[in-house]
Amino acid sequence: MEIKKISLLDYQEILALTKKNDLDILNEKEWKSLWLDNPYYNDVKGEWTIGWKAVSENKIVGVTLNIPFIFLFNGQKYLAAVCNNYVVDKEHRNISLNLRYHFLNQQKVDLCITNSANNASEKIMEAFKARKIEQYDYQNRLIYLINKKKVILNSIKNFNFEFRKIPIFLQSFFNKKNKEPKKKFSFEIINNFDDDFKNLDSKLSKSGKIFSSKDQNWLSWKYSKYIKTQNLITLKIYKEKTFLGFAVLIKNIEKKYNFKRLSLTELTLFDEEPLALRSIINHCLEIGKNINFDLVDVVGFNEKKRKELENIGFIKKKSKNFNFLMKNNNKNLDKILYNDIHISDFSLTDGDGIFYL
Amino acid sequence: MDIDKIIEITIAEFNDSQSEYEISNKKDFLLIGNKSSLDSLANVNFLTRLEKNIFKNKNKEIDLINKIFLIKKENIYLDDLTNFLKENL
Repeated sequence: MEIKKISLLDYQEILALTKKNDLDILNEKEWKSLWLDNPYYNDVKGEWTIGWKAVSENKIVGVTLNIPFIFLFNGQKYLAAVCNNYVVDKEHRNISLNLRYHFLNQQKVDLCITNSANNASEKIMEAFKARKIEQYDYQNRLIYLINKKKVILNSIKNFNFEFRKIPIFLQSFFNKKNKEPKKKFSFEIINNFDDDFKNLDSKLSKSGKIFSSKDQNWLSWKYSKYIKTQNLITLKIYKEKTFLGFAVLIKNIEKKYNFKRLSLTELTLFDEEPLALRSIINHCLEIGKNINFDLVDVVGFNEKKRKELENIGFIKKKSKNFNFLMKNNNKNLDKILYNDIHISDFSLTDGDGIFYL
Repeated sequence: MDIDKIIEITIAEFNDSQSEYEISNKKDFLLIGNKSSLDSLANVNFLTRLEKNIFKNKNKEIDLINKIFLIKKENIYLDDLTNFLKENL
């Protein structure tokens, strides 16, 4: 058994291994794009390990991918490695620690991240001294039921209606009325990231938050799959022609109950003014209603945004496990990451979870 | 308390904590490697307990799960772990 670096040519074997273990994998073009179109990978001209594989008798029996992200805080850039496509054949599960070791002990990387950990991965990451992120209420998803009748009927039809969820459904019928402020704002809907997204990071540098890059090149790379399949909605908000910020909604299907779902993965305002925040969220819900989607769902975001979402009528749903863990290799980031739950504003966009909607 | 004793106690604790896996207190017991009888969670369980017992008895913190791979062997036996701890604590 050997641990070796992955090459782009390994895709077919990794595909077979992933499918054998009933897991999801991107198609070959999307998979290779994780690096070939990645701004950092291109900056360093490929000097980056794309992942590690465990090889036994000339066969790949375990894999972990390694994707570069850039995070920013107060204008300073930090290099993060995001773990993805972590799969190990059942009969070789013992070697998964070795794969994790290679991912979590990279040189010159400030942060090692996963935001799609299952229960076992959560325990293993913590054993390697990764920590759950310190962020207000991250464990709870927020859901807005647009089509309440369909949601309840589908749940019953699938004989999967969980009676403990009755309070959640009842609560959704009593959603607080959206208090739409006087029309101060205007909106533009696009299906990509235009020139307003150039140098967005510098506009956000005084936000006091840590975030993964919102510049045009990074967002275009991260969301390329959804742009190509026309499942991306970018909603820009303006006040008197001044660009204030944006939201991103990804159209997808919630597989268990076959709901048409809009996942709100970006919610960025340069100045988190409550009225603007409320207005852009309400507009997201209007979009959902207009295109006949069943629900809008949210993972993460800071306390201010989450409270606004709840005020508007989003309800909480606890996730099965805490899936966002981070190992910090840069001591300068300790205070930022672990001392104040208000500094981080992490969501699906800040890890590999964004690639599998 | 010496390292051998700490390991012995930790093995007993691990074995008592669950019934699915058993570690034998033998030099050639394979902890990490392709043919090990332990899965990764079992290894994490054992090594985390060992870290705590080392701290309790020797007042020394060791990041064992990250450090054990410095042994740089495809197969890591109980004897390898014992020698590593004796050299590094």
